[in-house]
Amino acid sequence: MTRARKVPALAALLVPVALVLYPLLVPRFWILSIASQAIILGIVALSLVFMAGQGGMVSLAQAALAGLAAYMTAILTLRLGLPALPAGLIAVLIATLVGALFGAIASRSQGIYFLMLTLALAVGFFYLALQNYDLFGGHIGFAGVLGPTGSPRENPAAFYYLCLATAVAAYLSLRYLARAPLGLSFQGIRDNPRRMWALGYWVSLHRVAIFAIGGLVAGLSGVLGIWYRGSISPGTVDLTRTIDVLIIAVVGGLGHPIGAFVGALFFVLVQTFASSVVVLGFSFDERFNTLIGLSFLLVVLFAPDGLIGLAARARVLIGRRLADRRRDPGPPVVRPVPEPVPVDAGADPPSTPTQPLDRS
Amino acid sequence: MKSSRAGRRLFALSVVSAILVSACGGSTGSQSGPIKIGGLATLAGPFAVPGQDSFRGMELALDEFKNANGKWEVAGREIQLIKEGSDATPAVALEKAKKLIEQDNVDILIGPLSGDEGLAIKDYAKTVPDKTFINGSSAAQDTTFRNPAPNFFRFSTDGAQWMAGLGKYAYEKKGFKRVAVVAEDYSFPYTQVAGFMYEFCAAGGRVPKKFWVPLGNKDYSSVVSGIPTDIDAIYVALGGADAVNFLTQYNDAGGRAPIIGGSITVDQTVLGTTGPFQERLVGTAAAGPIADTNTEKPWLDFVAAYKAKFPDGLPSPSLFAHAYYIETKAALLALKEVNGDLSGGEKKFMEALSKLSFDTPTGKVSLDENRNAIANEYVTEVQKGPEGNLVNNVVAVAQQVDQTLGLGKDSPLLAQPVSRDFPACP
Repeated sequence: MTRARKVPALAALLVPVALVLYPLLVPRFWILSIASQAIILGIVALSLVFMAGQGGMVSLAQAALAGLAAYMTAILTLRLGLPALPAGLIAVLIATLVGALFGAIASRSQGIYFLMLTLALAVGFFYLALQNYDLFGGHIGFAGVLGPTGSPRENPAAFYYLCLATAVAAYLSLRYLARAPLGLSFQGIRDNPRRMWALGYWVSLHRVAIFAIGGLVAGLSGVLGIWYRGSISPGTVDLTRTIDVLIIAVVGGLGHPIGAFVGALFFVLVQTFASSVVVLGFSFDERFNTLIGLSFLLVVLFAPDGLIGLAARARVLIGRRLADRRRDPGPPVVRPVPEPVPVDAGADPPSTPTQPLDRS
Repeated sequence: MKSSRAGRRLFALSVVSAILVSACGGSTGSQSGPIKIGGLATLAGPFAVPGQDSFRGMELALDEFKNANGKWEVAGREIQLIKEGSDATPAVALEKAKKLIEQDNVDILIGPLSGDEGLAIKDYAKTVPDKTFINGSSAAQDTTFRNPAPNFFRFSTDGAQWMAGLGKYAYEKKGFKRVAVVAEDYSFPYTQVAGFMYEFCAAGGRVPKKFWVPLGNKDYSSVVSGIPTDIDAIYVALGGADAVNFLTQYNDAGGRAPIIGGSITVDQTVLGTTGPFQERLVGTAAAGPIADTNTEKPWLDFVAAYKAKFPDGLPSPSLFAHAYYIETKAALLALKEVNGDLSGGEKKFMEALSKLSFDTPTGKVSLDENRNAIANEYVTEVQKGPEGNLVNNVVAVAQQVDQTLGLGKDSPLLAQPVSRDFPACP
């Protein structure tokens, strides 16, 4: 194995081990407020990366679908008394079905029109959650919802492993889907819907399926989110949170599903610690939003393909430097320049031998 | 050339990361080192300007405890203030509170600003019994009235207390017997309306109809057309732009009923806007924890100190600066009393807080058994000022109002949590 190939293989082994050992090494704040939150946001961003990457559908409705699952979990747990896990699973199912419904509404739109439709659906859901008291609890929302691992504060490692397992399952499933026939048909529809239609694929139905899967993954994030916070209110599905999902996906990199988690970790770190940053005596404690915006701007400016694109380019850069150092330059070789052949102006140009035409 | 461009990008990104990583350092609290106070106010969203003023209030209180070197100090221990900003949503307030308590290891958390945030922080406080949580200016009733947290202290009064004196004044002095209500649809206006109705309904007044509008509503046509014709006045608990929009549209539609204001309905931000409805606002009664034209010396001293330290602040300290000032001062006074002793789960400090009673720019403040403030409230009326502008003049002072507004805990008007439908006296 060449040295360039050994590095990713080593990383592929170290990263899972580090993720599993993580809660044993850090304080609770870092298990819950940093890592678990990053995983939860990463899963909802993953749903967007999946829909945008495999389906070419950039949807702004993912935060709303996650919020819907969170609200459903709360209603099933608090109003109907269901235990946590069944409530969570039914909530994910509801989010999947509503995702399919959104897909049915938006399946014939593309590009910017699709984006606007999903934005309208998301904002519509926000106002429904804000103003409806019979089902959604209005501006107060719901509180006192516990997950199957109990209060995250009391069992942080257990909750972290629940999030990690869900994220890994979602990530591997979507990666498998990308290579399965269904995933390939999704990509075909992304690249050339007319040709796929001509080949006999029901394009709108496939788009509905993409939205349904997006709703499923977003629903997972929503359920984990309410188990993490213990509460849900309309502020979790407002315009700011809707756009946050897009920022996470873009900053992480839309090219590969792992970008969603990388972006989410970056996002959580910046949001948590921007107010603690002091640069040349100026504290950002009241201007943290400026720093957050600047950091996203810098990433997008210098890494248009996101943080994972930057990592890929860094790997190429290091690989090239290593290869340069390995090659022995040797003594400088001076190759003699060939003498120019004098061209006789009157001479016939050299003729290439040709076969006489067979005229028989 | 390509590799150096990628190299520059990598460098830029690592600079960003390095700056962030440098901020990540956590620390552990100690019993003899500096005392860490966490300040939580809204620095984003609709209440960003009040949030900034809140931190000004905190700094005014801290400035009263300076040592010889000009640094904040109590009982020989330096005081560090760590600020965090929320956006009036409970989820973000909770995350920032967790960061202050668990990552920055603050000993005392002072905040939040907004009603819904306060309810979330109260629930969080119950899971951290060995740290002290002091309110900022959040004024929802249930934060301390129902299921209070033993380590959550509120030295400011709630939205219902802010209305003390107004219901009675409206019924007796102004002669209003039937009043309609227009208010925003969330916990703080619920509390304000309840505070008005406690006294008004108890005196014999009737509230036949209530209109609840979403925060930020622009179109009040359905409200204006639905207001009954046989009412004597409208109680309006809207803030800022919402108040201006409603008053303009009501006036344009020919509505002539007098207005009764909530605590943020006829403050200087609304009185300072121009419009034909301005003339009709003269005589509007309102109430709140402060009054701009208060002539008592402690208030004037407070305003002078605010203007001296913050020449680019608001023209007069807002009720948010006032609330955060009182909460911070309470913390510092209690710290002085226990000589900076925060050991043993801060038990001594919490006990000193619960027994604390001191003089503020608006009179004496003490706590009831739910650790909620008992303080003075001001009833005001809008009148023309000396320069022709509109100001709120004090017409009555309700002395030492408790959270039941004198009704007692068993009053039927307090039997259920405040909501759109409760209390009711149609």
